[in-house]
Amino acid sequence: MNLATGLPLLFLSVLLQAGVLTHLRLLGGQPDLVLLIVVSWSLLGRNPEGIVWAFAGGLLLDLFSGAPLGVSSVGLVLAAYVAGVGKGQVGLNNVVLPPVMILVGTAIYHSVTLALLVTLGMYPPLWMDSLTYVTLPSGILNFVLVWPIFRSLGFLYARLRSRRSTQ
Amino acid sequence: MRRLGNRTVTLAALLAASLTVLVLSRGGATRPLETVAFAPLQPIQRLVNNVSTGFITRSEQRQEIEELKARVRELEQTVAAYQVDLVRLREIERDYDRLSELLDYSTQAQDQQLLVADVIGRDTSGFLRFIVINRGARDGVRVGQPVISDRGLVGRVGDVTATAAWVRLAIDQDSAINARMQNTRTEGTVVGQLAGGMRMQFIPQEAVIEEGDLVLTSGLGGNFPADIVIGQVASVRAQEAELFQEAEIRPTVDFDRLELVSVITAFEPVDPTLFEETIEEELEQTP
Repeated sequence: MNLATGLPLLFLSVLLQAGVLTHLRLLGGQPDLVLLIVVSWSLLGRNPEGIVWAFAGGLLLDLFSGAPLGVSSVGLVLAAYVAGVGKGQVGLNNVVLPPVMILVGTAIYHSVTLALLVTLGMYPPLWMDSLTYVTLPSGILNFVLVWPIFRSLGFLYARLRSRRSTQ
Repeated sequence: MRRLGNRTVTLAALLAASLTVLVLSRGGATRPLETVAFAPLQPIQRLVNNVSTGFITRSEQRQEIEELKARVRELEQTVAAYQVDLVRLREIERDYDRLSELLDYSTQAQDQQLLVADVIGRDTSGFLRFIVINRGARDGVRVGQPVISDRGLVGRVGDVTATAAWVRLAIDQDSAINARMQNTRTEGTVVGQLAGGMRMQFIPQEAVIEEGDLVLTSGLGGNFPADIVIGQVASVRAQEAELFQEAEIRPTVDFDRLELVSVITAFEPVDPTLFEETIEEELEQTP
């Protein structure tokens, strides 16, 4: 994903996450749109594009958060790295790997973010409660949304690749 | 092998960069950069937030109309009963005013200065409960200032750039507010809950609390003015084996539909030294 496509996509997803998806709460959880995009792109795109977009997306997310800059980047970069392990083994019709990777990615992203917030003294160390009330519902919402987002990004990836090959 | 190497090197570099940014941000070094980066996003974010909040509000309003019709009928009966109480209370108020004048007593005006702000976004992290408002240091907003809405307490300013501020909501996990019951004057601490509500802790066991009791800020600690409405008691949990009882608080503010808030930029905090002086005087008078 080049800069001209990736940056507006990330901007849009961060704006939607901060302005719209915060209303779609399930208990304490909400869909992590940037994580969904980053994990999907890590499965589809060239190495190590997913990790780079995870870093940029994390910084953008933190601009809209009360947390310090960099908190979301750490978790997203690690989630994208792990998702990238599945790179090359996944086609657009794969119904197993994207949901599995988003669940793993949600667990990594939330655990790392929680650990950093607790370390920074911005959040009480309520590990089990937080993972139950926030991470688990977020994981369910991400699981539901991963398929349409993975498919949409798959079409985008195919278009970008065909355009690149014709040039 | 080489591909794995590239990925691992990129991972290590970006993790190091993230942690560096985190340390710099924690120290406030990235504040000018954040101000510059966030300023052009504010109008777009405000638009997105207004559209989504408006849409959600309208769709929920339709569902609520029928419920409200039934509720109006119920409330009309309640209002009739309250009007009788109101007449009685007005009489008491007039008596109070007359007696206050006689005693030359006046309640201290709280002298609050309010700054109205639009809510332009909500925290992107699932763990934190912050809102973003379109007023910042340029407008006189400072970290720690209380934020209210027409329905009661919203929270406190947690972070500020030149043109925006992040408000830690009263339902955030790390929020703790000194509070008291309106009826019994029983004091405690209201903390945020993961599920979005609030809980009042450290209520003495002997205190009598009932469902529906109003909870207000006590003003102790000087972080909030006294007597701002926080919520109502939804349920009480009292166990004999414990030192304190706890109460679930139903917030009066709907934190998901906040559009307009007011930052209290100046107020007269409760002066705890007044109590200390009284205690000292009493001790001196004790033989």
